[in-house]
Amino acid sequence: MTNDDAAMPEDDLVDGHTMEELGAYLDRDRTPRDPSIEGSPACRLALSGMQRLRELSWDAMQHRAEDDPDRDSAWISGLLDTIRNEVRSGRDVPVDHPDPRLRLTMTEASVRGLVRRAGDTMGGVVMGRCTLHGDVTEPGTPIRVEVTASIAYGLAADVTADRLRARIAEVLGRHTEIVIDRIDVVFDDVHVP
Amino acid sequence: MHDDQELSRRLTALIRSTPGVDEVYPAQPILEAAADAVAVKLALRQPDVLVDIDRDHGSMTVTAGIAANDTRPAPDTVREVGERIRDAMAQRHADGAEAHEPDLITVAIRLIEGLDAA
Amino acid sequence: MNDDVSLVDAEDATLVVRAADGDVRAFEVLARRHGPLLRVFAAKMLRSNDESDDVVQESFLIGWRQLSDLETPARFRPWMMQIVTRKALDRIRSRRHHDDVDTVDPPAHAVHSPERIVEARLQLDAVWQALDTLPDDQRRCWLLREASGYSYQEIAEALELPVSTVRGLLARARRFLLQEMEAWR
Repeated sequence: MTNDDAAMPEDDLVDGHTMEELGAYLDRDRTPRDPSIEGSPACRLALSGMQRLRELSWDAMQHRAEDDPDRDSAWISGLLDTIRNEVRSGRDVPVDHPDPRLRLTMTEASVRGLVRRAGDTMGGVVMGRCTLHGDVTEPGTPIRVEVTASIAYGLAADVTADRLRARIAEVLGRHTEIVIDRIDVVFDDVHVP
Repeated sequence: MHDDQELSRRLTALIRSTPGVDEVYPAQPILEAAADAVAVKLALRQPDVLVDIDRDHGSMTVTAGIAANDTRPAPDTVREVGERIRDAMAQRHADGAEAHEPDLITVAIRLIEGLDAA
Repeated sequence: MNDDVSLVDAEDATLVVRAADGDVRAFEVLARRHGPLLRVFAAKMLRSNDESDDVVQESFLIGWRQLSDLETPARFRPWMMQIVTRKALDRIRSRRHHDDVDTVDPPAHAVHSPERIVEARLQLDAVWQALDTLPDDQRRCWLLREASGYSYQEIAEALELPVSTVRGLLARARRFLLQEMEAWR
């Protein structure tokens, strides 16, 4: 049997309906309801066949994807290198030095990454967003740190928030010269530990 | 300038050997992007020549980026990197290899890594 | 470290929020999680593994840059699917317009070789392999409809064909694939 581009036989109908019609009907999600199609067992069989075909193709793609031997191939490391270089640095957070010829900074992105990492390594939370409010470019300005996170099911929110605040304050104190005004923690999600 | 490539290589190695430095980065992201970003290749850079030396209208600036780790406070790390560069350039000036010292040395921490479990 | 473990198991929505905030590690998890399926799809559209890798890489880069445009973080996968589809179509269109040697159409014959298919997934494999035997236009119509969810009008625009032709190509493709599927019931 061949499947070339020759015209489909016109008499190849299913109870008076062409495959084209039935396909279009399926693609319209079978609305508005067509009684002559729905009333025909042969048509409904064809429709359910096409539906099954649709489901099978997704399964097939999934299986092929799982069988993929090149899971860790070059495409992803090249991508990640480029991305790492593109992370928007944000504002420059100053590091003090008496010599005016030295301009030492850390990027806002590095500080936010630090906060995220501090939370992730604490245990019990998965960090979400981190925002630094206030002029971080001006030394001594009190900065409000705002974070969102997911909390492990079963942990007390207030105790965990306090732990997280302490952890963030400790890490920022060690690695930055930022003056912290306050640290606001919002748990916007729960996860299974 | 050929000399600057060699100088950049030396400074890169110097920075990399500083305690607390995990990695040296290009001073700022270098990429070629069209308005709609189809071409996405990073401009080819030798991995050991990462410090920018800019000589413009008679002034000289040296720019570098680093990743710091948790073995010491990051501000201490970046301070030492800045001082090492400054001192190396001062030595070159004293040796006659450089006409003058840099007007500005910029070092930016772009990443801080190595935190372990609390 | 426990934080890396928790990222690997995190939901797409969480990862998207973090990646939009600049977390490259979170984006890496997303890329490893969804990359394989997108590569399989792109390879089917383009009939070339090298090009499909390029397309998926470009698409993830665009995804990274436009991540804040994604309104529903949980819908990362369908969103990436749309980007990959567009990029694959760009390639196909530029091949056509540059008169490149198009992929050689294989002889279109039914695949009935039971000796090769020994696993339980008979129907799956049959359908997947049968796709390869379709002429390019039929296969792409079918993939755009079934995998990318394009409307007939969108397929017509994407492949630069009249809508009536798209309907006919789809019908032919379905007819053939149904036969293949039925043969392995």
